[in-house]
Amino acid sequence: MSPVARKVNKTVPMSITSLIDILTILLLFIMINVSADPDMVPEGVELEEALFVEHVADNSRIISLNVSYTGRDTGFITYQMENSSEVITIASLSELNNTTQQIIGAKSVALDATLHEILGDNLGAIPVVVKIKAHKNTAFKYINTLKSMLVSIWNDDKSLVRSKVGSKDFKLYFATEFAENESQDYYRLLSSYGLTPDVAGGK
Amino acid sequence: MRMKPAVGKKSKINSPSEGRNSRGSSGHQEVDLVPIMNLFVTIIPMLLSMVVMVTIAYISLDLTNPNSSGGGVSSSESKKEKKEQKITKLELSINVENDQEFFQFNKNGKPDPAYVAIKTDNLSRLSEVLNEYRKIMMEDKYGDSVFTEDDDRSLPIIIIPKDYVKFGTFVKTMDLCKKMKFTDIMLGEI
Repeated sequence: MSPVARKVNKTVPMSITSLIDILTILLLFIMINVSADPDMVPEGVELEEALFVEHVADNSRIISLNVSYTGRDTGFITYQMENSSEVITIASLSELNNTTQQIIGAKSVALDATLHEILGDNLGAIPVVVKIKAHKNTAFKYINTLKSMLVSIWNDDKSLVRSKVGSKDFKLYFATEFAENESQDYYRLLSSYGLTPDVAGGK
Repeated sequence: MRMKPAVGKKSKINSPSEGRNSRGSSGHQEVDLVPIMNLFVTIIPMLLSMVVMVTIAYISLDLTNPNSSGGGVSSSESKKEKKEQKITKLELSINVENDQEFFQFNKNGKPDPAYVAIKTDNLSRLSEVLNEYRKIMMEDKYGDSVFTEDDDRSLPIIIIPKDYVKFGTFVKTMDLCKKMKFTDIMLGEI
């Protein structure tokens, strides 16, 4: 007959070492991803999805302009300073709505001064890329006005705006939300275009 | 309030099991991980809320004046080919009427009656039409209309969006045009 086992109220401490390991790795991963990606979507700006990607030249000077749209012709064109949370408002959409050429000219001068400050002494030495991150519901006329303002600054020979930027060449890039290859969004978008993966490849 | 056993002092043992499990005062003391855990539990949700789960891509636009480029064909060439039915200039305008957006094609400066009022939510129809134009223009420009996946040949198109066209519609149109090898996109004005 076996001896009666004495009932012992033994509490085993839970090992949380592995949990802390996971949390530490997760923390580091998130911190690296948050800090190393300056190309972020501004709050309130919803980008349109796209399949096509164009790479921005590595050696270019990049200026990111944000166009927020809050409906009924309201919103702002802003620039966020690099490595800073400071946001410079270039124009409100209501200001650009039904305004005379003079007012748009004045806004162009202000934009010119801002860009001159941002670009500093690098003008002409390296190509300039203007990235426009605009809300997908923005009326196209505001994008067109912004484009006209930029062109008037760059090609100052043809415009009334006396450019400080004084560069002759820049490229315009529109930000989109990229549907990664083979993802669910990719196939959904491909299907809405009426394309198959083979056709999308150009066959 | 329970006090933690102080290092160097003899701790009070309440039960035999506690006595067996407890290490001597000279043994290693476990680090109190509760504050670190509290910190992690706060920081991780905060950082997760900051992370934007969107991959940004870019679609570029050539700002060359479409009138001067003439759709990528020189004026002398276009004069020679005037009698033929070649497409020297293809325009895709995006119009809005009664909050309804639709596409309209202009071929060599004139509206193409074959493809009128394609609704912007019917992008598959737009891709069919672009495919038709692509075949004709590739045949004209390069002598064959067969594509390969890594084909780097390009075709020109001028997109003309009206004032109240949504920017998203314009981006989707550009995206589809680029997918259909109309990569030489210019922005036209009304």
